[in-house]
Amino acid sequence: MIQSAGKVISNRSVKPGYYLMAVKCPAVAKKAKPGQFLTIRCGNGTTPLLRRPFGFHRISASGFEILYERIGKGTAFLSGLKPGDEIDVLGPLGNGFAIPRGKKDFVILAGGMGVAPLASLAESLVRIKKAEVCAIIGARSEKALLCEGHFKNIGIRTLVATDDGTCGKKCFATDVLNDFLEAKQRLRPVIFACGPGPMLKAAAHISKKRGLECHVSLEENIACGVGACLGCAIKTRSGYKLVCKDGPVFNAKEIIW
Amino acid sequence: MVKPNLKVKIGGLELRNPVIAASGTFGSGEEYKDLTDLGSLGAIVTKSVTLRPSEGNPPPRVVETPSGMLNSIGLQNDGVDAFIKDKMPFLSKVKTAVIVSIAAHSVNDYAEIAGKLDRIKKVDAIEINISCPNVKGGLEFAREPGSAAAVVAKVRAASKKPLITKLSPNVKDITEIAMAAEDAGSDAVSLVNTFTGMAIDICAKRPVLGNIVGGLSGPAIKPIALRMVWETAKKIKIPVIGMGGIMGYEDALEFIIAGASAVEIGTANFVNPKAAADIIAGIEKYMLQEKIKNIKELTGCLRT
Ligand SMILES: Cc1cc2nc3c(=O)[nH]c(=O)nc-3n(C[C@H](O)[C@H](O)[C@H](O)COP(=O)(O)OP(=O)(O)OC[C@H]3O[C@@H](n4cnc5c(N)ncnc54)[C@H](O)[C@@H]3O)c2cc1C
Ligand SMILES: Cc1cc2nc3c(=O)[nH]c(=O)nc-3n(C[C@H](O)[C@H](O)[C@H](O)COP(=O)(O)O)c2cc1C
Repeated sequence: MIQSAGKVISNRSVKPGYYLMAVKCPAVAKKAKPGQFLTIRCGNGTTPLLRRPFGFHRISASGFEILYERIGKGTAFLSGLKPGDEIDVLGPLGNGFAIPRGKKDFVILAGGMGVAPLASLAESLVRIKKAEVCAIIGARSEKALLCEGHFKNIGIRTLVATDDGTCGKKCFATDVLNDFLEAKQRLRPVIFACGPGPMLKAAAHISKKRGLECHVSLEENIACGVGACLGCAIKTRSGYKLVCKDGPVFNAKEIIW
Repeated sequence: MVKPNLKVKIGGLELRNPVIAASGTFGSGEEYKDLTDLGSLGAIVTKSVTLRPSEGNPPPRVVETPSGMLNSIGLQNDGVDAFIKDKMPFLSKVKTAVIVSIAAHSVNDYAEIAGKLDRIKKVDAIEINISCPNVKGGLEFAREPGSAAAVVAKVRAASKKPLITKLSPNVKDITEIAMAAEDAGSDAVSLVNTFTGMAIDICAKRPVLGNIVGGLSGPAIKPIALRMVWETAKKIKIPVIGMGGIMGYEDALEFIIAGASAVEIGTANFVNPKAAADIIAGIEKYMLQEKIKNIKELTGCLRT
């Protein structure tokens, strides 16, 4: 991990309320892996005070992108940044997605903003020889559906579910997952999931029932981000673990939901 | 002009400068080794350690509040034996003073932990945390002069290390507790620990923290902490270590002018891992500008 100045290259709204920011920051990008995260100091004041965590949406040698939703003071600050502005970046933090060796079949399960860190994972997965990757994206409505085009562009079969039926099937992403696994019984895919707690819990349940390996990326309120304050604890079968240091990616069977 | 002298003395312990990383906000230092020069700090206070392992409170454990944060970590740690085995090897190599914070539910436990640490060479001092608001009974020792004195006296008997007693602001009169700690043999006092507080999620109508209540830290508490340091420094002869919401060198100087011999940096480490290093540089620059040769000239120089 390193604390480094990043330079905003671009920062645009991809849909109302959702932004994609590209940052030049080779020191952090060089070490970053899909599933790890970074924190950004949002301004110099005392409100917001704590750094805000974001997943690496895309990673290159010279920088990274974050995909974020404007929901409060910190993300409002970020959404106002212009190309050329400098930001204080700390990363990469935590452990990324561990891709099991020898596996060829993968399912990416994204709910809401959970899609953000899964794009860089998808790019790694498609580079594996003969890999079959399927992405299932769930969102509240078409207005909050992100990355569908990106997944399709890199050649991934992409299924969509929305709560209100404005795009794809009108159901939960985990319903689509169930149907997919039911139809492809001979497949033993590894599932990578990121999204709201209830979705991850359902994904953990489905994968347990079918005996599939499932990795989930979790969120908790983060203060230090480096494992010092013990603030982002979650309950696991081996006691409390830290989202920032032991995660954010965990094997779903480890988590006590 | 010559480099100003930033050295301060806490009991028998000399610190390179008066800027210390606060307990619970800097882990055991190792977490920050890639992010800041640990050797530049005056000292590191480690996360409070208890006699036996303690798993801590249910999540969520932290939440931001206006200009501050609440935490209810609940003293999660692996116990003093594991601390000595797992954390001391790294700390033994750091080129800064190591102050180990201890917490307990009974006077005897405090003494037992202190006794174990007394045998470890690289433990430069002990901070007695009698003020943790996040564990059942954690505040009891800090509330009354008598119980505070009992803890300090027992630890004093168990250890020859310099002792710093960390005080709670959640008391009627913090100066009385400070005087009791001084009389019982403490070499210094540090203040303040966090203020008990809470936050509520109005949609769920539930407390935000798993533990319902937590401790407030950060800039929001600074003016109150400063007032307490000022009042306390007037009443005791042993050094006062001030903290509460210090974000920059100006805040640190306010505490020093109010009477603090040294300061601890807590929440600011989360915001900027180089906060303590920046504060040291800022104090030095201020002293050069103001032509102050020795930091001791600043301690308690408040004009009223
Ligand atoms: C490891 C990790 C990776 C993340 N990656 C991304 C990402 O790639 N893209 C992205 O948009 N967001 C991501 N988040 C969430 C993001 O950190 C928060 O949305 C952000 O901190 C909100 O800051 P704010 O100041 O705008 O909102 P605040 O003012 O802090 O909060 C506004 C409202 O949002 C709620 N809120 C705050 N934090 C969260 C949270 N973590 N989850 C759900 N609700 C929250 C608050 O309760 C409050 O009601 C990630 C979080 C973690 C822990
Ligand atoms: C997450 C967190 C954990 C803390 N843990 C401890 C602890 O274990 N022992 C202790 O004496 N103080 C602990 N504190 C209190 C700090 O050391 C300090 O007294 C307090 O935060 C006020 O300073 P600040 O405003 O600079 O943070 C903790 C504070 C925070 C924010």
